[in-house]
Amino acid sequence: MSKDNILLWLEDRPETIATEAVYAKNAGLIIKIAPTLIQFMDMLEEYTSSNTYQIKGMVIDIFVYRARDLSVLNGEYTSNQGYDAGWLLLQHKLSESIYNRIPILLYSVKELEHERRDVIDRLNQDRPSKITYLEKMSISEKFIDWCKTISD
Amino acid sequence: MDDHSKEWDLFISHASEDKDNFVRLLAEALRDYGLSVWYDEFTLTPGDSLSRSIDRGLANSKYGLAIISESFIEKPWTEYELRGLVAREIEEDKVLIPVWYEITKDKVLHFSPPLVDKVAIITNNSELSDVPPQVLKAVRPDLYEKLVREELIHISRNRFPENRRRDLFLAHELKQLSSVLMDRSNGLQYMLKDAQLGAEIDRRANIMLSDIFSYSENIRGLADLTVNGGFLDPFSTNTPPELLFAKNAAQKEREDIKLESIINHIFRSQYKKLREKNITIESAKDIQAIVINTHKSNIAAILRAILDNAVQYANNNTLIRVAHKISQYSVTIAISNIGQFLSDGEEYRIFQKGFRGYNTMHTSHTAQGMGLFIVRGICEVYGIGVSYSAEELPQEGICRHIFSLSFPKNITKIKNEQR
Repeated sequence: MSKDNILLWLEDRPETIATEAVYAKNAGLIIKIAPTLIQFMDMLEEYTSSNTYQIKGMVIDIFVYRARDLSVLNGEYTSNQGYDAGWLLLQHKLSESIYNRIPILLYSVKELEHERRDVIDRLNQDRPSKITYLEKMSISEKFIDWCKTISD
Repeated sequence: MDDHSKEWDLFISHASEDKDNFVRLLAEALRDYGLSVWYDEFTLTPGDSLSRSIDRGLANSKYGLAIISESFIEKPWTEYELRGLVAREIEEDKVLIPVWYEITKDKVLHFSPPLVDKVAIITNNSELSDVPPQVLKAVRPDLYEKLVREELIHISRNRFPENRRRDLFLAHELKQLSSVLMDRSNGLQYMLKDAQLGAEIDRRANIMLSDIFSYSENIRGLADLTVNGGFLDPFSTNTPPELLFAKNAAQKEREDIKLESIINHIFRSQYKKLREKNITIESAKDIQAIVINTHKSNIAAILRAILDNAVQYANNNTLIRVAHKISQYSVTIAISNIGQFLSDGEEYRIFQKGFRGYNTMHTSHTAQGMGLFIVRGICEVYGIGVSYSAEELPQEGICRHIFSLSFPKNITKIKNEQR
């Protein structure tokens, strides 16, 4: 039995990605939006072990406005680091090997620093599915291409 | 004599009885603001001629502040000073600023009838600490504005210790808003090319126009804040949820709240409408075990907004279901109803400030699109994840709307640990 294709999206302001979501839908993906890290991790676990759904990709917003609760990361973080919540999630949870077959798109208005690009390059060396970074500005061909690639 | 030649910004005429409780504090506050103040304790030194010094102060101050109190009106000396200030006021406009310090209008009238007609700062019904800013605003509006601006910046910096965060946030919001605005403009332009505007296109065009309007306003507001150097985070501190949170948090401690009792209470208050629409409520039995430790009024506000919505937009003869799920990091309550399908893209905008969907525009003339926006704001304060999704149903144009509230485990208890 074929499973439904899920695109799991960490985004606290879904209204800003409404158009992208329509493109992703047209590529045959069911969008599941989590506004907090807690909801994201619970959804990730639920769909990873689901018999009816398959996670085809994850979109991570780095700059999660007002994210306060970083307790899922099991570390000592201040509420201010919520601004980097997506990045911290990638580093401390999504880089675990159990998730390395799920393509990840870092999709944010925040410019990615060189150090972070280096971290992504390093992580990608050990991942069968890659981590990609795209700047969230407007609908780009790159985003549509990424959706098509993961849904194939 | 022009103002630039004045030695002091302000001369304070007062009775010595009022020094300890008010005047010294006022003078010090004004001096701290950066005003040059003629106040006897600052200005007079041993050996000075009192009368000559006061005459010089009166003549060389731009403004005179008269602290009119019961002690003041009994003194011949203060009356002398006041006469000097009044004389100056006749020659130069707006010199005298009276402050009524714990005195009634009748007594001021008896003391000096013209003084009653002057716009005064009155302390009777306000905090004494409100007086210095009012004086500053009257004497040095430029300095007042600068200080207010600096205070706003100071507040924002306290909130965001690293200025970089503020810049990032501004860049983030401006990029997002302008990107949406451009997208909507293009969409509208494309649609208007079609001269035959059908009902659906007309509806969409109206939604886009409304977007353009509200986003333009937001961008303008942010741009103004950037240009002025001030930053008053209009998206958080000024929003009702923040204010509500601050108010409730200040008034009450967090408490253990049984979700079921709040949900039942809200449904009971909707009894008439539920009966009219013949809606059945199905609530999972286990919800009675869920206890949330937080501020009751805020959680009630969240649930009321979502449940009221569920009832309002449910089709007749349908079911509203309240279910729950316990996961590793959270306890999720899902509230679902069956109603009209949302148009493409609307499902992602449901928590947006001012958003009114097609359903709302046709069923309610009073909805402002603030209810769910406030829900999201309150949820963010507590780290509660709130999301919306829709499930298609076989019948055309109908779907199941699902609102999920994910309560973090650290504020949730499961009574008797029933799992």
